[in-house]
Amino acid sequence: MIKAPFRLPSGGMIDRRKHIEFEFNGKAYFGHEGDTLASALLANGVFLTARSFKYHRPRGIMGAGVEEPSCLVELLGENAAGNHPATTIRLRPGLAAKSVNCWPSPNFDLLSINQLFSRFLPAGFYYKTFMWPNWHLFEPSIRQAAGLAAAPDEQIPAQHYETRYWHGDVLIVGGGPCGLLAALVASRSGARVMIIDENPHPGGYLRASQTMMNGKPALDWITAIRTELDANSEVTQLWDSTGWGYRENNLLMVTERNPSEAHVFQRGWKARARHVILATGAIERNLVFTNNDRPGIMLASAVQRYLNEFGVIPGRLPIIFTNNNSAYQLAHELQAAGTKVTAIVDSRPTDVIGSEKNGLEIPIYAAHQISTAHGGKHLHAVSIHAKDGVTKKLDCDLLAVSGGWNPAVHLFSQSRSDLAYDEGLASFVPDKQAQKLSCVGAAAGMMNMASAMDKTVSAITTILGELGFESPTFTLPELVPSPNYHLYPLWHVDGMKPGDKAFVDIQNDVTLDDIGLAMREGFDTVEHVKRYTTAGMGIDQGKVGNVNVIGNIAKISKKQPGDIGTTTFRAPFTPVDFGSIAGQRNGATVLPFRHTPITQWNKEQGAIMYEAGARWQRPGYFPIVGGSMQDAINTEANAVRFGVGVYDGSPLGKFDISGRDAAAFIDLLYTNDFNDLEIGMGRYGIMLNDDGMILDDGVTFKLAENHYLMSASTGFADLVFRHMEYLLQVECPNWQVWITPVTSQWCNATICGPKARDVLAALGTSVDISNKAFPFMAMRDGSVADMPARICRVSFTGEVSFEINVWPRHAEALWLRIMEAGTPFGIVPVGSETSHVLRVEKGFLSLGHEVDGTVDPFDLGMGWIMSSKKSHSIGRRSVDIRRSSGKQRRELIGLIPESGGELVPEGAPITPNGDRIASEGFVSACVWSVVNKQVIALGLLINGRARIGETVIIRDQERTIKAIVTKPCFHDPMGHRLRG
Amino acid sequence: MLILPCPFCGQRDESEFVNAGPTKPSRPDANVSDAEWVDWLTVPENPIGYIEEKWWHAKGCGKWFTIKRHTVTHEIVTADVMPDDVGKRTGETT
Repeated sequence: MIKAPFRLPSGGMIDRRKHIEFEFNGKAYFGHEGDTLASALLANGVFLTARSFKYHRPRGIMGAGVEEPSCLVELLGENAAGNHPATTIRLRPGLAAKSVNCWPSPNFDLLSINQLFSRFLPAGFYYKTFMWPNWHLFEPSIRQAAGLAAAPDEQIPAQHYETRYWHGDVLIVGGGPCGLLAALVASRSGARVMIIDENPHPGGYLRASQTMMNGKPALDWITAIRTELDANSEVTQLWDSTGWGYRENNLLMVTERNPSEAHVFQRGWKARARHVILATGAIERNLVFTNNDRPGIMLASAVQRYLNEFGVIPGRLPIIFTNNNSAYQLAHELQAAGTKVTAIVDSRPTDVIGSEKNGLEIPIYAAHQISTAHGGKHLHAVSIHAKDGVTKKLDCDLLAVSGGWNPAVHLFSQSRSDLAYDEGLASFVPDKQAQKLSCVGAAAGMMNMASAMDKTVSAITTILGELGFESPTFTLPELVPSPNYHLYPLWHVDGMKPGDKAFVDIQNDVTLDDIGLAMREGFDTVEHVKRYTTAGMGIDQGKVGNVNVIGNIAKISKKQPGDIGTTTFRAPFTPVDFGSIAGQRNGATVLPFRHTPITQWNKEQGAIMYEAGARWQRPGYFPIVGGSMQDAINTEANAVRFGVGVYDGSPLGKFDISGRDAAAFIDLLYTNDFNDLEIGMGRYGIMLNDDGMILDDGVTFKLAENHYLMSASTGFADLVFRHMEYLLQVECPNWQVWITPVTSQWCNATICGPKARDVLAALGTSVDISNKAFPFMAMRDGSVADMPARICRVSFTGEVSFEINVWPRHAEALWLRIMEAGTPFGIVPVGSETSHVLRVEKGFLSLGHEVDGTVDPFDLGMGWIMSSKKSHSIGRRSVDIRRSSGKQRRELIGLIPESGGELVPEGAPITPNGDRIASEGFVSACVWSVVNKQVIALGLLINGRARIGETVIIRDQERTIKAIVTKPCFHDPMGHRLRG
Repeated sequence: MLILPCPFCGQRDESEFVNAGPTKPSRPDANVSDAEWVDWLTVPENPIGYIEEKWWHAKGCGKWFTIKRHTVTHEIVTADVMPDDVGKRTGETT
């Protein structure tokens, strides 16, 4: 085992006895338990770990946690996942990862040639260049070059995702000093508390620094709190978990990445608290100078964390570049660790540099800036310049930069709360809360730990009082006094020249030049700059760079950053596996299927089952041995047209409507007259929305005075129910009408075809089924095959049909009896594909095909259904207004496509002359007609009824198909057969 | 995901409800002009602030009710079964 060259001989919070082998870009390395992939790589001296998104510039690791903008990796093998920052991946045995954005490797990346052309790749380059003939021609190759990691294509074996809910009093996001303190106080009050932190161990800055509490290492304080929280059953601690989304009513979306249960891969929590405390800390920003992205340049806070948490100093010759005093703590700690810091370059003048420098034996270049970093695949020197312009070159292989701290206001902003600009911090801080939440610590802009902890106590005391808990007693830890945070904003260094590659947003390769270009081209608000340059997008969402973007916009436009404002902070805060959102709700578990009692029989017959709307499972068709799907459909359709078939019509929506005002209600719903409907008879009706568009159609039977049985389309029955309930509860609250959905209370088998009556007679029925005694559109109660039954004579096929409704418990018995009694007549079961063929031949409507929410009855040639006696039915007025406008509309027509027997895709547009221009209609349905022995179609066409006999042209992607316009009925137009 | 106060069932999760948009002013009577009718039909309020909207407790008691919700903070100030200003259809039988 080779010793990791950048690991210190002692220190850090890793378990040095446990060695873990892992693989990165095909090479094997060793790290320790407690390492992240990033810390293990740095310990091994792997500094060139990535290529940039656009220019494929060499990049290394810049951060130490979720802020990492640069080193994204793809995890390989089991549990594959894309686009994770290397800094957030816990090292585990067998871990294999590779860099994204480079091929074949970050050291030799073929697309790095983009760097030579970088002056041709400015902001907005893609928008400006790939416009002709259209973007889609270029998209695949651009995505290949610019894309991030690929999505894994296999499921996680042996483990699963799950979801859990939590409801409680106080939810604390962030387990740093203030978050832990808040959790301790809240838990002692008896409140139900949850505390979460994105790191495997809480502590935040306390783990990343050498902070002393009560004269002892801060870890002791953390351990004492954890021990107390562990013993409290009202406290839930989630470590290695990220609160990534702040939703309405204090709902936090949390992903727990390493649950203790071995079978759970990740757990998504939906946590809802009466009060949320955001103790999310602050994120350091970088400084903008030429080549500020070279491997070896890191955030000062990251270097500090690698030193203290992982025992790694990722360089031999460090330099610190800062515009504030927080980075001096790193200098002190490096000095204590025996590492000689070459220099501190501080952009602030000498007179403001205070006690932070006491005790340092390091040259401090005050009022100096770094103008350029030198080195290609790794940093080897920097040029610094003073205010008077004198420059100097200093050798270094590690540059720790600090551009100041941004409170992590992401969740606060997601909660729709307002931010305000703070001049002292040169950053945005929480202002007005939109929900029941509070920010504490650095997240609230309080950068001094002692006073932040003090304020946390007063905040939590107030909150507990509001929630009805008494504040407990406790003592604050004693801290070594530290200087107050002080910074002078430095949005970019002085003396920048056009063409200098100074990155404002490292992840998206956005330079200072790009920001200037966007603004010169008129995209001068922060939202426009973001979209034009992509600054602040992507996986890190500008955690390091966003405020620098805003600062530079302000500088260019000579405004204050507070006047520029921020872009919207969006969820997720860090990348989230879709699986952790879905939990175990995948496939049919999300929306369970609905089945009829015939499902099992259908499956035994080998039926291909489909969803027939509203999650109802129905047979699509019954395959025949040695035949195609079309052969099967033709067999079924021929049986109905020339013999007899039977289908399971149980999913059809059914409502029992009764009460004193039931008749008036039916009259209000439907556009046609139902007043003269006789008991025992049914009538087809269409109901409209207020906008005059068709909501649904179906047959309603009158069972008795003020008692009806309404049918609704399978897929629209739920919507119809909602519509009726709304009317009755809100618009007609005094009407006495009761609606009972009876879809699942009546199952039906519909026998259809010229021999349907023979089959029904063979089954045996108490009802006189002669055409004279039982005419079309009538219904009869009686028995069929000794089962209580309600028979309806409706037809959706154009042939004689008997819809036999029975109780669900009799449905299967009835079905088997029908198949048995029908055998001598050649009965076949019919699937929904065939139902579709039969209704297209007849030109019967189908919701979702011809009726797509943009048509009214006149468009369908059904003006007759708009009763001239009724002005009060719903939608009537809107239809009248539309008609009086005189505009040409799309009308239902039939089509006979000259497609050589091939079906035309449903939805294909009809365009004038078949040109690639706006359509004049579309094909709504297309089938092979068994009676016409040719392909037929239905469609909607501008002014269609006046164009019967014309030839129109259907466009199917690259080809065109001529079609003759006909009336929308291809079989028995007078309806003699269905009345027979 | 909101927590909604059903007037019958109390505080329930949003997933049990169906939203039906903002409540409208009373349904205009038959003699309004076409322009007024179209305006009533197609121009909903879209304020930054409190909005009154319709919800249906579809997977609960089945009641339609209205709430007043703040579109930014989601604060809900009232919940009512049938507030007075929801349009009542003319021509009721009682």
